[in-house]
Amino acid sequence: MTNSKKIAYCAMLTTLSMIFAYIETLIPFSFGIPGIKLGLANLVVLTGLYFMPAGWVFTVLVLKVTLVSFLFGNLSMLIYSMAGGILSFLVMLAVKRTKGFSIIGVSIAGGVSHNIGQLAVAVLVVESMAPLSYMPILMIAGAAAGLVIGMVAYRVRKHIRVSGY
Amino acid sequence: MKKKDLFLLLCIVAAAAAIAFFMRLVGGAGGAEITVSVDGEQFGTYSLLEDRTIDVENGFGHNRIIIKGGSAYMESADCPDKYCMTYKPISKTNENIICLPHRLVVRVTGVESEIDVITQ
Repeated sequence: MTNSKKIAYCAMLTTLSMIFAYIETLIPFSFGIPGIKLGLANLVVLTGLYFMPAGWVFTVLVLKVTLVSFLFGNLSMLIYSMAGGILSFLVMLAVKRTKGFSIIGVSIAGGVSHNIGQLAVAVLVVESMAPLSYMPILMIAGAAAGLVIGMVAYRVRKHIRVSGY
Repeated sequence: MKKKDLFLLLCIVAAAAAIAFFMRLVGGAGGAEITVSVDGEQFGTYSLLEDRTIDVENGFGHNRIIIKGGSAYMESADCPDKYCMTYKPISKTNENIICLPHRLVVRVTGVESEIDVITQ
């Protein structure tokens, strides 16, 4: 694939994940616990892992997190999202390379590790172990969100064929 | 969904349940006081037995904690998200209220363990 094609792909996917992140900010659902959300934008990263080199997906992820945080959030959102995003990216890559897992399993692992990454930042920020009491609920929430996103990604992969790759 | 996916999901649910169970085991008893800390530094310790208002003013902003009828809650905060104000009142050991933007943690401490009472 040519360089310009690579740039076009990354730009398009970054835009798509930003739109997903924007749509998610419009859905007013909250459980009183920060960090519980669907993670629609992860759909892009997840499916990306299956048809692009991991390095490209990582570029898309970093761009998306940076742009979304400054557009709809602030600096602290950037730190939380980046920690969650990078940890979940690494875990998803590892699970994907492990035999026997489908895209749904990869997604579940990603959802859970995203929340664990954010919780780790919270522990560092308040310099207290107190945020860890949210570990169980955030693990379940991450697994549930991962399951839903994974099922969607499974269908997306079935129906969308990526040309030129 | 493959077998391994399901296994992973079950492992996560089991791990979460185990952690929740362990935390209930450690905490759960009625606490005697709350400890307020900011940025990891202890700000103060207050008894849950007497009603009072605690104003915490730090470099990050202002929080008002109220102790009433044996439990504590966040009455007001000038942080942007106000998640800390949505917490339910806390009264049991290790329960906490966290205000992330202000790096503030309110935690119930001072275990009034049933075992302590018996050995006395």
